[in-house]
Amino acid sequence: MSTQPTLQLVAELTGHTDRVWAVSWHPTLPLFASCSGDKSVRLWKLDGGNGTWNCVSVLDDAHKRTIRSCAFSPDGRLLATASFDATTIVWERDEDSGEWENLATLEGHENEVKSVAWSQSGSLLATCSRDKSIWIWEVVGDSDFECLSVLQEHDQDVKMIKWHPNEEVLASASYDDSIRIWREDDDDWYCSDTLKEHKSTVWAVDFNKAGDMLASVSDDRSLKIWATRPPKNSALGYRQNPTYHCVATLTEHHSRTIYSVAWSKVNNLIATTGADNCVRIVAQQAAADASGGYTYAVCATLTAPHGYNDINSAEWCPLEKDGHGALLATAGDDGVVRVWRLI
Amino acid sequence: MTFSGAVLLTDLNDFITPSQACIKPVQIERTSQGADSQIRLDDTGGYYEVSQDGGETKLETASISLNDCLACSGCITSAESVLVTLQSQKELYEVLKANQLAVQQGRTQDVRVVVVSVSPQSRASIAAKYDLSPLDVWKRLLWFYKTFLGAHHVFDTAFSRDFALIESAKEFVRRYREHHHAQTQPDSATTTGQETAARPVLPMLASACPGWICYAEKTHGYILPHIDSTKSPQQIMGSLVKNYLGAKLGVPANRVYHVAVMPCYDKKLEASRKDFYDDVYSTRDVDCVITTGEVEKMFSEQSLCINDMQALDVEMTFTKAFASPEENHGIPILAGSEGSSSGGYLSYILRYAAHVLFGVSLTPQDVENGTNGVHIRPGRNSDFVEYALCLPADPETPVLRFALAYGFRNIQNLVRKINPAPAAGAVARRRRQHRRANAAAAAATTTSAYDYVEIMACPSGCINGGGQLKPQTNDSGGGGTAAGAAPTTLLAASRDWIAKAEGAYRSVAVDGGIQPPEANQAVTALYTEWLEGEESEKARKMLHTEYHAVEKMDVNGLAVNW
Amino acid sequence: MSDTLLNANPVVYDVGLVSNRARRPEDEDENVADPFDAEEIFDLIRHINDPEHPLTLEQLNVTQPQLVSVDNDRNHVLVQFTPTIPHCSMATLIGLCIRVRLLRSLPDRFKVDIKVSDGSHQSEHAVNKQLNDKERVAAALENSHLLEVVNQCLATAVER
Repeated sequence: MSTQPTLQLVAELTGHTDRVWAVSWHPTLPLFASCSGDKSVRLWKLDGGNGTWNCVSVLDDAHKRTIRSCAFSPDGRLLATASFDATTIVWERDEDSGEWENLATLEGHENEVKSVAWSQSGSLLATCSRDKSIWIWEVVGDSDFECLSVLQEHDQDVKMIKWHPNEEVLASASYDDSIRIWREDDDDWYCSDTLKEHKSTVWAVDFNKAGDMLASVSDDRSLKIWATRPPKNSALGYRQNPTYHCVATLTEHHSRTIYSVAWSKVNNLIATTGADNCVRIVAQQAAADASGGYTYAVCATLTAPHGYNDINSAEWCPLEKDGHGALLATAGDDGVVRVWRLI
Repeated sequence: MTFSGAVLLTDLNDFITPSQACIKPVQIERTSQGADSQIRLDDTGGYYEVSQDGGETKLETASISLNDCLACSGCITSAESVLVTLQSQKELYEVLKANQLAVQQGRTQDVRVVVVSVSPQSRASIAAKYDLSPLDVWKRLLWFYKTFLGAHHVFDTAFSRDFALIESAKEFVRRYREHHHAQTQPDSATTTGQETAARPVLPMLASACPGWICYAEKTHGYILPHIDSTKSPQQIMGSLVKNYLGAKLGVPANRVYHVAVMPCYDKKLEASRKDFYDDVYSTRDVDCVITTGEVEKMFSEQSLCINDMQALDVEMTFTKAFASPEENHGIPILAGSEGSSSGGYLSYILRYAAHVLFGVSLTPQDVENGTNGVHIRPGRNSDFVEYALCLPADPETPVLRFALAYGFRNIQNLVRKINPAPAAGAVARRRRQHRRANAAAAAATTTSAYDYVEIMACPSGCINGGGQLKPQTNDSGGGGTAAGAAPTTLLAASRDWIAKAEGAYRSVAVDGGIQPPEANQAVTALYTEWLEGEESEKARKMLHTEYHAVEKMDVNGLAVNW
Repeated sequence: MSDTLLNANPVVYDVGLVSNRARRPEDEDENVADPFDAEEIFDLIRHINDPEHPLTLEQLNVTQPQLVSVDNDRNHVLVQFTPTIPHCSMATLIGLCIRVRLLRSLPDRFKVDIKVSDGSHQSEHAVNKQLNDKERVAAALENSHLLEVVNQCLATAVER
């Protein structure tokens, strides 16, 4: 066995004047966005020359309240931001000026928008809110968005949504303690699966690279790993979908609410963060055993990387080249964003 | 944000407990002033005021009426308990029982005239579920309400809908002319500039769906001037029954008890609107709305099945029917309506406007099949369809653009386009300008410039209303129960079910033929006899209404729901 | 808001006017990592005004010293409170006031849990869940109308 990995601080990025809620990496550049209670988004970029991370853009004056979530489109051309002001804004980078400009403001949610995510193809955008609904928007032309569906089956606020990495399948995490999986059938979106094993609010979910597994974290202080089982052979004429089943649960690695989970598409490691001020890196220990069970264990820890502050988000860099896949950005209640390298 | 109909369609997990989620401030009537008494709560949830001498007075429990819900922006959904306790089949039973008692005791002056007005969508839903024709259902409903339960009259809201169609079409033409007049005369537009800005006239949006109206009033005040001022068929029947029939029978409005049978729970909310309340007689135009599902419940409460029920002959009074075809031994049969199963507003208004504004005569089939200059373009989903009318002189440029938009998602996309403060930023504006210069792309971007939109809150429209019958769950088949079936199976089954009800609705027109509203001679006669002419003040009062933006209530910090 | 009182005539409890706890020399020294005790926490919240009555939470027995616990080693504070009536719709607002008071007064190191005391509210689970959801709390505090009410309730606590 090799020695356990460690996380080394690469950059400490200050500028936000309130807690940082989330970070989102650019799909093709060493660049990421962070969003904050200070109603702004900051874009941070690696200067290839001297290896430093610098704030290259501040997107403010658009949202009236906290920006809770942000996401780059898969082609990196657009950035979507979700705010407590009940709107989602899609920004586009002007090729001439290099400035990010408001391309569209998506209204419709009754109150706080909590999460925004682009589908893998970039043609669909999903948002979710305290109003218990999930909205699926279609990108029409190059600047219009049309509402395709409003999904209202969650009983409470929907905290977070995440698209499947390869298919048009959406996972949602809710204050109602459940995770739901959504699929499309002839323009109707429907809930194909409801995962009810967490004992409290599910704060976040993320898929693995293949999309056949899902990780979820909760106010119940547990991390759960779910794996798909192929659909049972059915006599019914209608199409059946694979379903997700819980194959592993980690309960001891965080001592308070777990707020975020990120499953690296590069190194297959899972990063979790929470109200106990910790970052934990979790790795699968071996292939599934005969009974389909998996073993997961913590392989690296940062005990107080943001001091006494909650860590709201950690995201792995999706770039494989130049070892960027080992980069992890964390966002805390201290208003600071930190970049770490797993070595 | 949602519609109550949508909530009621599924299970009621959105049920609101008045004490917690409802933010309506509740006034407690205290018997004594000052802080010298306490409140006690007993095991059953009753409240007692305990004064210092130990005396207890039971306090009233806070209750929330339909009107409170209507006037409040606290939540968009309304609790089913509120709806059901105030308007249900139980209330109808009570009125019928009181009538029976009054007759037994010789108090004929206390007998209320009971009128039941049934929607054609309810008829179709029952027909689909029990494999009957809508005509058979109608005849059996006549027997059930009149002979079995003792109601005095059963009417058909497809009849009052002809008033709604005629009034809507005339209002559309009026708006269209005003709109184009203002556009072609820039000078007059400047002088009345403010008025024009305050009252946009096009697109005109349908007004028959109470879920949509309620939603628009609570969240999109700016859109209200776009909504057709014409009352819904239910409320026009209300005027007809309380104002015309009451006078005809020499009975004051409060001695007529009017029940509407509707495909939709939100119709209960509509009936409760202040606009439809008569202060003089303290009565509503529609006293009680029961859904199709509640009618089915009535059958089973009376241990009846519609398949085994007796039937009465169709009558002509306030019923959309053809009089006495030869082969039917002089007994009237139901007359069909054109267009969608949500009332056919788009179809009739398009035909009327084409004729009045452009001198083009269209048949209902032209609109349905897209012939004679009508172009039909399916939208992004099956609940969105665009209709355009082009004149022979210029078959490329539409002179009228209409659309059907059903369901929440399509309403959203529509209101986004009508929003006076477009939310797009600099980039999008530049894009659009760029695209306008580009002739080929121009056609794609101007699709939002509709003249009329038939909006309904429910996907598939009224035939799929929240109060309609649910498909028979077949438990005897072994396996295959609804609960255990895959979601895709349920989706497909639900589509089949809606298609069946839709088929039943349309079968009336197929079997008996379409009767356009202007061919409904009874309606024409009523314009003269009841309404004192077509454009009279009385016609305006009886057939039109107003909408009111509901102010946001979250200015009260104590009542903020966070 | 006098017409919206939920518990129009609550029981009022006699309370001591000043803190029972004598100030210690180390309280004045800012450099000492200051261990907190339950009484100090209670002092911070006892004078918070009830949203509906001109009475403090202490006077209404909503807060009590024995319902506050502090674990200095684990940097954890738990405050429980008892709504005056078990269906009190002000419970979340009272809890929010307590949370905001502690958020503004306690050092960053403390994680604070706010709960209604066991069995004291018919929606106990829902109230507790909402009060301890940082996202819901953060969003609530961006609502100016709600914040105004919270600040009014806290005005009496801060004066002391």
